[in-house]
Amino acid sequence: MEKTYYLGVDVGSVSTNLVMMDEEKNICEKLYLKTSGRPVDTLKEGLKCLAGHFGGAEIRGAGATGSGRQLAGMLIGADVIKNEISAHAVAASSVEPDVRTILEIGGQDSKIIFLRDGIVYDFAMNTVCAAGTGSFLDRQAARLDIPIEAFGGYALKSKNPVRIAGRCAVFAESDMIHKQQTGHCNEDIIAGLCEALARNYLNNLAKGKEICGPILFQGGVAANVGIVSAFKKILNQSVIIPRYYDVMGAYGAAILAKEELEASGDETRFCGFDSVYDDFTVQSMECKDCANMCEVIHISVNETPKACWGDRCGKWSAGAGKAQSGSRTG
Amino acid sequence: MVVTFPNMGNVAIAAKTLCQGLALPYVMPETNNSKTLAVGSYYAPEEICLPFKLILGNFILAARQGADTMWITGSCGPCRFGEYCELAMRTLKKLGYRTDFVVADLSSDVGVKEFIRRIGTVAAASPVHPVEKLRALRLAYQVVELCDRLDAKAYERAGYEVHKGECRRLLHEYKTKVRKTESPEETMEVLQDYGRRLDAVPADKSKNPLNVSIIGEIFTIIDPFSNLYIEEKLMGYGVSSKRMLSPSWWVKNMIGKPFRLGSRDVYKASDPYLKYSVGGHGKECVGEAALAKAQGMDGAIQVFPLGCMPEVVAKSILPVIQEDKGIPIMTLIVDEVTGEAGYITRIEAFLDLLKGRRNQNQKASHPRAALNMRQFPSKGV
Amino acid sequence: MKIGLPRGLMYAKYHTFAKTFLEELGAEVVVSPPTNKKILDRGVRCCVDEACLPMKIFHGHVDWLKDRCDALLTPRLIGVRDKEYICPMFCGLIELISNNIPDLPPLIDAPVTSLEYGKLIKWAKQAGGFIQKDDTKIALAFDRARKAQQMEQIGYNEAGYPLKIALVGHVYNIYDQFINMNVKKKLNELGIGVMTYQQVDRGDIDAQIQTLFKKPFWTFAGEYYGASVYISKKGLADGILYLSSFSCGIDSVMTELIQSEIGDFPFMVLKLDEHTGEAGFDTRIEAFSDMLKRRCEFGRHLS
Repeated sequence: MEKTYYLGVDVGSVSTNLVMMDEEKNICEKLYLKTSGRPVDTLKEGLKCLAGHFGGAEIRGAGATGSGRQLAGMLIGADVIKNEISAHAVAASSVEPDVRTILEIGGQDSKIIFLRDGIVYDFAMNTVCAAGTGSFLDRQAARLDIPIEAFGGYALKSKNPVRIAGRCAVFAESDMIHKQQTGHCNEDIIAGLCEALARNYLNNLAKGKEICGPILFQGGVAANVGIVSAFKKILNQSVIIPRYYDVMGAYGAAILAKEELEASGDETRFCGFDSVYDDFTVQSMECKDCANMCEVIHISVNETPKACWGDRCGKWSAGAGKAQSGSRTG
Repeated sequence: MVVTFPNMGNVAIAAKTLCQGLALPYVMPETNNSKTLAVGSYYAPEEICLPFKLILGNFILAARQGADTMWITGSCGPCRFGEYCELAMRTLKKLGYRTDFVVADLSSDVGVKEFIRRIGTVAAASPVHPVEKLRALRLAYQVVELCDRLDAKAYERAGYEVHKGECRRLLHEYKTKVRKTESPEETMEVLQDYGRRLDAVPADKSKNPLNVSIIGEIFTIIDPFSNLYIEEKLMGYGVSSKRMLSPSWWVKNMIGKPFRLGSRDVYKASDPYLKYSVGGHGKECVGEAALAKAQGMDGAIQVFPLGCMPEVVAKSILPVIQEDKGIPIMTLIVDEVTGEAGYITRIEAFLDLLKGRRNQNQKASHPRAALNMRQFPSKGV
Repeated sequence: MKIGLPRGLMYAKYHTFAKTFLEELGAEVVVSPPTNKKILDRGVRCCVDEACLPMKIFHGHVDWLKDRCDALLTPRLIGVRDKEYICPMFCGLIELISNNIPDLPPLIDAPVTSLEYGKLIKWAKQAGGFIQKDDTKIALAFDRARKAQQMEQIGYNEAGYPLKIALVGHVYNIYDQFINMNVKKKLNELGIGVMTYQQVDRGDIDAQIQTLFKKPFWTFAGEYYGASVYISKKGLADGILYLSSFSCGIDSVMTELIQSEIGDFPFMVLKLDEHTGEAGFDTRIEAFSDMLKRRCEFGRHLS
């Protein structure tokens, strides 16, 4: 019998990830692409890549997550459009059924998720600035002229990490520059930065909460050995990095699509890989009908209006997006 | 004298009704929007809380349209709200507007004499007969009460509606219309009409929607713009929501408090966690969180502006209540830079969490799970 | 019996009273050490993130003391004058610490609503009852403590420097050298003398407050306002340095009111929190003092 697959996409601000999953929830293919501010193009590019390999196979379902989930869900015809917290939790529990705590640090935001008996019990998402996220690390690596891949390695070499203060990225950066100017070596500064990041993350997100193992660390930043070791040191516990740490959101979306369709018995709404050749346009306008001044997004495919969202009164979205607006979320 | 007043939920509609009844010229502020906020935060101190920025925005925009008498509610501590009038007054003066402020402080705080003097300045400007004045006041209160009830009804019924989005549409329609009415009578008519329409919304009583209680700082929870329309978002997800704090609740509670009426159950429920008042509505927030489970709520969402001191105290207590009562509580802090994407993600994830908990409870076939089902809301405004 | 006294918040102002009172009652007083990095770290770890730095540090002091005493003296300071307040966070301080720091010893947390004799003696009986059952002994201890407090001179006014800066702000910012990174020493080294706002008489302060539409309901905030305006009007100092806690609601209002009242008088706000880098702090102080020096020279040219 032909193998059948599920597609999961996670369109984040920094990276766009795609995952092909089989019926046994194995990941058969994963893509990690930089979004570079062009979510539609990046997603299309990803789909083209997958089409080469899976173009002929049957896709049984598709799920979308990430901050661009609405748009992505529209484009691919997703069966499930889910927020990234739930997607990460589902993915983590299928990798490690007993998982109690998930640390997730992505490009623009960071989250902590607590599970009890396999269900999400509590969660938190960073409220302050981006000092604890991937983009910030990228930026600092570039500033110190160190490839981001090697960044973590430097931290491990440090014997005496400096203390970096910083409520937000701008201040952390200025404090780092100051430390450089007073003559600290890069290793110590990077190690200090990793520790500050881990400490801020925990102070900010895990205040007063008990962090129990097993702990999973996922998201792009989990590749950074410096941060991993900082977490291990502060938590005094082992931290598991799942094999597909960087695409866990997309993986979760694929699992959710599978679960959703199995429960409902519906056929998938996935548009097929050929949809990448559709002309997909996104237009935004400020509705001037009342003082709310909602920013309404119009999506059209091959010049036919497909969906609308962003309006509060429902005037626009009720008219156009019959198929799927935000209705399947939540 | 051209009166204006800030948007504080339905208070603006009541104030408008009062002006119409007193035959005073007024400037109706636009519903809060990005422009209000932009103007307000430009002239407000950087670290002040969001409500002040919006109120200041309302005042400046109204002053540009010729308003010269600002109505604002007051309070005498310990929260910052009580200093709003002083700050707003100085800012407007700096900008070159000659304005009078009528600050509605409690008579117990500023003294009966001062209280009467302030009411007198308003009453003296109105050309209508004293009997009419009293009638206008009564109508204004009726209007705000009715508005609050309509809101509550829409928020609750959204969980049961058969045609998705109907309650939200009606809510939006009535809010738009009611701001444009020309007389108190017309306002009442619109409200009563929409009360009937909301009652007539086809409902599926077999639905068992998630129930969420909205708690926190009063301004940010009654002004939809400040909380990024959280209640309407919940309506979109088919969730029923409930909010105790509202302008009419505030009035009732103020009058009832000295007689130990008002929301006694809430205060009583807060006592084990927070014995003393911390200003603002911190005590109410704690009490409501403690009661939410017994009221059949699946969860509670606390909303407050960044830097709100009373709510920070409440926030630090909520995790204890969450454990004690077994009810999930999420805190959302809003300011002018709150990103909507992250906000929505949090709300959606929280609803997923509530659903997950409910399923788990049902699986455990907890005998009390059935008790948590709420009754379908009854009709009648 | 060992009673712990956290060296945070209003300790800066009322430590003499508290220490004398406890000792007269026959308790052994354990005071936490001056704020240091470790105490800050402990505080940041357990305190709710949105609180201000002094609150976090207070948590750190309580955490340090909790295993070293039989009870902690942490009165719930609601107000020091009738119908006035200190800060909403103070009203809920007991809840903050008891919900966020595990395994606390008993707290002597009787509320203080006013420092007026009749009300405070009631507090003394409630609080003192924890240590001493005999009411007359408590009354005696209370009187001695009050006298000791009255003798205490809070603040300073340094002479002998060419320039003078007035420090304004919460006492726990002005007098905690860790929180303010020893701003006094920094200023002295720049050739600037320091006075604190407490040098202004209460009567002079009240006269300035009268000009406000609304009398501030925060007692201390009213003092900051009145003192700053008085200092600027009388030229008691060359500039005012307001030490403000980041995210403090009171400071956000008061700095604005003061600035709008004193006009061009040199005024700088320094925001303090656990993330404040010392480098930036020093830069600001240096720049401010340079400005004052130039202004003074300019003024001399004119006269």
